[in-house]
Amino acid sequence: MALTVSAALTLAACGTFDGGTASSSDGDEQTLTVSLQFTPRANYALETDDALVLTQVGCLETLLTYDDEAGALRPALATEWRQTAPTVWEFTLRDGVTFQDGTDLTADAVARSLRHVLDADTPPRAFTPESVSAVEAVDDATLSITTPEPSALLPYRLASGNTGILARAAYGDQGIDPIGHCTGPFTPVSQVAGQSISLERNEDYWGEPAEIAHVEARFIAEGATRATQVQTGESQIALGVPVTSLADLRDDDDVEVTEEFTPRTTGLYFNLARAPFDDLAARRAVQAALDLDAMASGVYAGGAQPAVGPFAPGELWAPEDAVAPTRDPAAAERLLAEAGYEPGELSLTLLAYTERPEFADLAAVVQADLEAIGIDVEVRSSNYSAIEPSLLEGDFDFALLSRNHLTDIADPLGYLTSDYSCAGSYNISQHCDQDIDELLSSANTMDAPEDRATVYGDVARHLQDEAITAFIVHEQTYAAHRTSVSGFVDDPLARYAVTADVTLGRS
Amino acid sequence: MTFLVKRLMVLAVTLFVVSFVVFLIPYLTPGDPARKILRARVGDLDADPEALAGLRETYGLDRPLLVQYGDWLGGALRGDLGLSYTSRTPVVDMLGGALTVTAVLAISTLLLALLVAVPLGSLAAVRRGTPVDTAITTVTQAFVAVPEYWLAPVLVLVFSLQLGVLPSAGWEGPASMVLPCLTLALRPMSYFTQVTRASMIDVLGSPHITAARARGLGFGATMLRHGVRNALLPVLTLFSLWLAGLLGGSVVVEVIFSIPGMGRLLYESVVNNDVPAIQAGIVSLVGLAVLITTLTDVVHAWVNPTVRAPHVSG
Repeated sequence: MALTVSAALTLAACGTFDGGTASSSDGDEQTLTVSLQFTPRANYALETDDALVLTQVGCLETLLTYDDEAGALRPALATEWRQTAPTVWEFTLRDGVTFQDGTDLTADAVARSLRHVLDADTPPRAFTPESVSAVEAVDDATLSITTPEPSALLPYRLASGNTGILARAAYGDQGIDPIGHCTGPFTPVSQVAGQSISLERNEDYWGEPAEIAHVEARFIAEGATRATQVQTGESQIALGVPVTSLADLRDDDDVEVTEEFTPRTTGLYFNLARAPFDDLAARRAVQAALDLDAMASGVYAGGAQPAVGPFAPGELWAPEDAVAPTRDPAAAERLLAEAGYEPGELSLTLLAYTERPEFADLAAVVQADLEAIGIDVEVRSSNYSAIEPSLLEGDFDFALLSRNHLTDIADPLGYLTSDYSCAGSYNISQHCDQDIDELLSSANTMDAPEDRATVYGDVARHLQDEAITAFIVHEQTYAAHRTSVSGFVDDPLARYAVTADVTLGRS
Repeated sequence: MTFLVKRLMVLAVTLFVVSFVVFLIPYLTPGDPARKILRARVGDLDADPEALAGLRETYGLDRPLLVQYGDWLGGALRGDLGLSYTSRTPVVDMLGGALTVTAVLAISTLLLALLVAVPLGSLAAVRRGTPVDTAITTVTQAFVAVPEYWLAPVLVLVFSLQLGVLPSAGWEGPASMVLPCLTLALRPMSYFTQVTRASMIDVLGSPHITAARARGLGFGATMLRHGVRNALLPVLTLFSLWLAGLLGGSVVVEVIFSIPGMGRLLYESVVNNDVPAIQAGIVSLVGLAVLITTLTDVVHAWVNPTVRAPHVSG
């Protein structure tokens, strides 16, 4: 009886395993295993964040790519792009590119692919009918994209993973089938939903073919598990390593840790539509009361830097002279008095959400810092969905939010417009300044990235000087890889992990 | 027969009530369902108004709740549990895969627990009052308090990181089952041991054991034929309760070991407000729990004749 049960159980178990081969150690120079932090959950629909997984594993490619160090667009599947009329952009496709199923990359195939995203029931922010009115093939190698209004940013939309190009056969009734339908250096050959995707080198890749023959990408939600996998050698690369694992990883001679700023800043968003934060002095009082160094080193254990504004130092858009405010309780008390509040008079509610675990500690530090200048703070913490109605209806004093300023395209215009323009779709601060609106509007038609950077720098300075938001920290991301891995770059925008440049030797 | 009909009616009513309550919960909690669905697809707090409008239209989220529930119920009765809001694939397929994984994990865990607990509990009972009994009782009582979120990393540290003999995560073969099973088995093993011990002590003092020994049956044979079989009844009941609980999935273990089971699926469905997946998942689990309880009663009757034929003794 027991034997029968055991045998049945073993058979049943075998049927549930994903059939992947666990590669261990660094012995196999042909197979690279990578632990990714994001699990695709929308069946690889390109209008969702699943598109990033396909770009990370070297499958999905876009017409252009964004070089974040140079702050410029680079050719990818398109080699040239130009504005032929105020609202029309034309893209010349790279010659000789084929999809992994052998079909040719033509303008018609690209147009079809882009229209699929545009027509989705939830189009991605990078490519919506509000920003793009038509996509058409001019000839086999030329694509035309029309915008409702003149837009200098249209090419940036074609560098977003959401506008990746797949072969016609990828679009079926059951959703996207990425197996064998990309153009990248690696061809997906099999997948296990929610677990992993296996890829092989694309021998017909239009660029320099990869050295690595096989890639096994595992989706591991738990950060500590990803860190362990790279230590045991089960994975050679782990993305999104948690701060708590850094010490162990750095002690391991076979592992290297890299760190990058993410385009994400955490801040205290004030409700400018009601007292006390309708008063500049009250906002500045809070700004002066916060100990950003302590938050960055304590709450984030060094995994973040005190914020100098919405953009991190080193980003193109951060003003060169921007510095993080230093804690000055005496100045904070003076400013509070200037705003007309006695110590102990103000009693406020701070909203925070539990999806970001560090917010519990961060809220406690804010509470303590403000108590020191006589502001009583009650923290209301719950999941984001529960506090969202209060935020959208303006029924709050201030809230802790972590915002990605490159959420749609590699340009912060979308973020600045949604969060800080008068009609912004996420203007929960209820900030409205016609000058800022005009600045943002002008940026949309500026061709030169440096001109736009000047505008964004001016807006960032305004937000900081007027304490529209008390920016707290710029978040960093960590990745770990075995020393046997060469050519790996931890992309701060999380677009790439496995590229043709990654090679695997012995550690 | 009447017993089975009654059980089936209870099952139907239970499933109906549970499905209605589960359907209501996401709508009774604060937040716009369309925004929750969109956030699950695009990890951004800001939502595009056009996309929200599209979602409301696609899923009919503006319709009255009862109409939405009626639609779901009609589909469910035809065997169509709908499409997941997040993956847009049939919920049935998602549940089938996850439930199989969790069932394998749960049954393996409990068999492992039983294999250790029954001999250990029997030994403690036979050696009652001796240092062996004290050691077994103390250790198993301590094991009850060991949390999974602590045990799992410790096991990974020892067996994956230090010894390098077992995978630290994944669901890729029998070896990948070992650490999750060990993590999950510790607590049921402790309970099973204690219940086996208590039950065996009762059985050992009963007249039919004395009678069996008096008939000249050896100690080992008496234990196997009369002792363990009778002592197993309460353990079986406990087994079925644990099984029903574990089929719901262990979120902690499935997340830490990256196992694509029910716990992880339901957790992610709740986070993503994937109502069709939550609805179908909970209803399936409740159905399974009722089914397991019924089966346990049947097995109970098989092991203990006095349960299945009360009229004979009465």
